[in-house]
Amino acid sequence: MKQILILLVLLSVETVFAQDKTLALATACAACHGSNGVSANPLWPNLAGQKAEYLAKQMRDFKAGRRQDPLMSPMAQTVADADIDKLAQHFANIKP
Amino acid sequence: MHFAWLLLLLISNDVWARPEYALRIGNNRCTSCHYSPAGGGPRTLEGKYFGAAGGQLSPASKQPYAGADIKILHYIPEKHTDSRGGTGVMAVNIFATMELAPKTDGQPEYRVLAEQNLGGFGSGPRQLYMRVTADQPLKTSWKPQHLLFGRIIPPFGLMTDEHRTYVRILTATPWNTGFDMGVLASANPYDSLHYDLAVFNGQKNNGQAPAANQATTWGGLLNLRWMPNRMPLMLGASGSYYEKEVGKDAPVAMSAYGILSFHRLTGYRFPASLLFEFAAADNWNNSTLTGQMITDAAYGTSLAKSASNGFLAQLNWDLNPKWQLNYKFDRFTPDRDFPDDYYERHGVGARHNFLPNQWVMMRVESARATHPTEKNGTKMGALDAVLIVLNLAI
Repeated sequence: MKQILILLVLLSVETVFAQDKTLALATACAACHGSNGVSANPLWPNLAGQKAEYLAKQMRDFKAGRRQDPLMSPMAQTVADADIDKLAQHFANIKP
Repeated sequence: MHFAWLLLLLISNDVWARPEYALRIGNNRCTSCHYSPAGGGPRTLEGKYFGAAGGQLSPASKQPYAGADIKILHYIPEKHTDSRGGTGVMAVNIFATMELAPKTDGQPEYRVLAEQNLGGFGSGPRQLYMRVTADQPLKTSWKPQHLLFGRIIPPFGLMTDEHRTYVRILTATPWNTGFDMGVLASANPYDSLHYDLAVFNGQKNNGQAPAANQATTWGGLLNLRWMPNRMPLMLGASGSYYEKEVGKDAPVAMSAYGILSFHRLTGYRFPASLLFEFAAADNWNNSTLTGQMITDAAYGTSLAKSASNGFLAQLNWDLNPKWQLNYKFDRFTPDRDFPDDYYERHGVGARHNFLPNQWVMMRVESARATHPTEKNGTKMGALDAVLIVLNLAI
């Protein structure tokens, strides 16, 4: 059991330092908007190829309460302002 | 028969609540994914999509009126005998739900939900309730935003996808296999704070056909969950009091629990969640429950009215959308006056999501009992085990 725990810790350390932060954050979006920015749910928008400025504005509107959604409003609160622009650019760069 | 009881008491057989998902996205409202405001159980269409993690749903799943969950278990305990191990259907749960009338602006929504276990252990009726939801349920308010009337799952303690825990045993809240009849009120006074307040009647008979003295049995339960939006942390507390049987000591239980999201703490670079729960109970260790895990019957009987403690810690690490690793530790001290006598268990496992909302889980568990008559016991409390669960959801 101890060997397994040590292995888990080593693997987790490797994971933490290996991932790009924007890519890591984007995994949070993928649950609803798809890993490639294309949503499986017709009620949730595709993000791939969307204009970065538009995406960033929507995120900031959710965060400030100017736009309301039961899932997006609280989620936007967890994203730092500096990361919003990076995430927006990440999805804007994906070809749908 | 013993095998069936053990599974019924210790293993969940419904859609498993995942509060770590809620914490990950900073959402303290369970109705974003579940019909019950207390969380867990039948999922909304959004909940099915969220659980699919970006994957496609089947045409049958793409509707909000019904769903099904099927769980199949293969259980291999140490000292394997025919009565304790093997493969079985845990549950075939189906549910249906619909609005009782079209929702109009300014008026609450009235909805009914019925759930049935068609097969497996504990087959029969499950939840059956009417839910009344305020016109604007996303507003913050101390007034109840959701009221449930009927047969429900008591929202006690950490509602997690890990139900094979000692804290469930000692508080007699085997999540998703215990039901109460009554009223549940839930609301978010603040976005970060959620409460569930319930009053039950007929708890003694699990909310089914009335029994003698039922009218004088009642229970109360309060659950608080705090999820500050700017912190990767969720903390909660539950308390319950039941006048379970007339003239007998009333069972009392409390739970303090929490989750730490490494997803948010590390900007998703270490996508893991640490769940923990401490629970204490008086007069809850009934002999049926302890009899499943305690080899020495006399010792089990002597614990029926003892005050007990339990602790759970679990790490869920999402390697990628397809694979999750789990480590679980839990400890049960059946009598806190004798803290050296306890049951302890470590478990390491993995879950593979082979399709959206469909997964298979395997876990290896190492158990230890310290009481002199239990060290080499032949029941669950002292036995190592291997579990494999196949979960199919529609």
